[in-house]
Amino acid sequence: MAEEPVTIRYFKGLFSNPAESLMGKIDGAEVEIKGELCPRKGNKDQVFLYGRLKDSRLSLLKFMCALCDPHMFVAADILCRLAAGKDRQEVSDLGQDSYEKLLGGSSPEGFEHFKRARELLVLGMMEALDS
Amino acid sequence: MTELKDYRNLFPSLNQERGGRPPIYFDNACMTLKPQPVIDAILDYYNRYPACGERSTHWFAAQVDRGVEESRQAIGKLIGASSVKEIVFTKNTTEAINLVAQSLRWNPEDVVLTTDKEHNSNLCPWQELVERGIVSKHRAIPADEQNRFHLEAFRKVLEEEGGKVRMVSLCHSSNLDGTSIPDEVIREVVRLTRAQNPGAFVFLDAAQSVPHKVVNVSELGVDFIAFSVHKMCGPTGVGVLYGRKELLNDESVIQPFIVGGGTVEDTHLFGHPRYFKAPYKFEAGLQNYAGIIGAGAAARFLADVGPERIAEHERVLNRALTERLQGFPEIKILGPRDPDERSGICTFYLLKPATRFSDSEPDIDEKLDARANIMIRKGTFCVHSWYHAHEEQFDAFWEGFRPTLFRASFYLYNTLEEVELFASTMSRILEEIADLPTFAGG
Repeated sequence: MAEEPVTIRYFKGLFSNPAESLMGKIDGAEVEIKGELCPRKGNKDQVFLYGRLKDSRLSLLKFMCALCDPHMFVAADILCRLAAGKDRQEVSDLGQDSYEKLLGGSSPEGFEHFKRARELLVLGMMEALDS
Repeated sequence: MTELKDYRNLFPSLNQERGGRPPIYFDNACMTLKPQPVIDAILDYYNRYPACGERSTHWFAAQVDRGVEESRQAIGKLIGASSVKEIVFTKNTTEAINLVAQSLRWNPEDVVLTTDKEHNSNLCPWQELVERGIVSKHRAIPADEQNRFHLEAFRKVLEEEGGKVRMVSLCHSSNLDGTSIPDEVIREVVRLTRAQNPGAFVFLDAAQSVPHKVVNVSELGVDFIAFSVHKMCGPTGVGVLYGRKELLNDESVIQPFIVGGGTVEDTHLFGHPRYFKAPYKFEAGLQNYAGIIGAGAAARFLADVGPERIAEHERVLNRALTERLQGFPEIKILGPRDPDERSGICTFYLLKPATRFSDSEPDIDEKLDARANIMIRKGTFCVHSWYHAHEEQFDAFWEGFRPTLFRASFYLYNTLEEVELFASTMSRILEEIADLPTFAGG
């Protein structure tokens, strides 16, 4: 079992405090995109990202997962927290330091998921801004 | 009479081992295993008379024709058809439903009704008719609180449509949760449907019922049913459409939509072809003779086993599995609480936001397979529409929670020992992921 305590700890924290959860859907969100974050699972694994856009900047973000493992949850959650208030370039620039700072430790596997989530969100913003 | 457990020996795929263990096959709602008599019938075709039917008259062709017609008879007898002419061979259930959807002569104001948990094969063909403007509307009848067919809701929808319902196409037994529409309810559906519109039809998607229980189309009084042979011990690539013969031969009601070789009595360079009578006018092109002959062997095999014995055996297995799974607080079973209402299907999900610690770790179904050769299904089982329509049910546990569904489905060769091994393996897997959060309220 490839358990990473820091990710699991963060993951459990998400479910101990429902009021702060970013899981869910934003109806009528300008950014709405579905994709896959887990390298091994391919198209069986899905995440949905939702974001409100105002003046090309994200405000509220939320996510939903299907067939999830903790890395995917945590990556999506941290991305939704870090991307709030940012424009497309600033989202693209979100790096490992920011991710691990919020996570509370190092997780290379988790960061791989985060990078995929970040690319997905940027794609969603591009689609929303171009439409 | 042969005891049910003795039929298990006729399935060669069960007589093998991996890692010193036999297979435990619980993916029967998708595809059943094949008994030796079916395999032999198919091999016999290829070994002794691999020729064309319905066209030539020689030694081999005569055997093909005889084999195909004996299959038609065996299948007609299995489902209580009044004539072999009511049995049309197709590729599968999906093609059979599409055949009717595309071949009926519709009116633009026609309305089609289905349940709210149809397999995509009994949803998309009707939605396409609406999309193309061929009928006016498709409506889904809401199920009751335990996900069962709701006759009162059906009656209400019929009233609201004021005689415009032309087709009622229902899953007889659900591949999602195993619930079946009782025979007396189907007869009432037929009565109500014809009362509101004498030109309306009732169609059963019987893919999950014919292989598992007694289905008698004459007693039910329905117009069409469809099922797939690969779910009833037969080969892949063969399905069956049953249609009342007076309908199949009424050109004002239905005309074949795939035409050509094998369907025509005569053609001229100008004018309309003259088609054969049913069922041949619906069986265009050279047929899957090996598969059809194997289908006949499968129908004879099932008749020998006895559909009522299969149904009772599956109920016994499902009761046992349900009792064990209800002991796990992390597991939520889909559909009615009473396992007797779920035939041989037990679909469940974990009340956990994750079912493994890492993407590099196998998921539940993969662990069952790797550790005990237990084969189940994961996903939405081609019933995406039901899943999306019930997302609020999952949100009640935690907003945004979208669980993976797991389905164990039984057949005549499964045993109580296999069920127990499944439950004990699940128990160990659940212990291993006990550290992942579990939602309350299951």
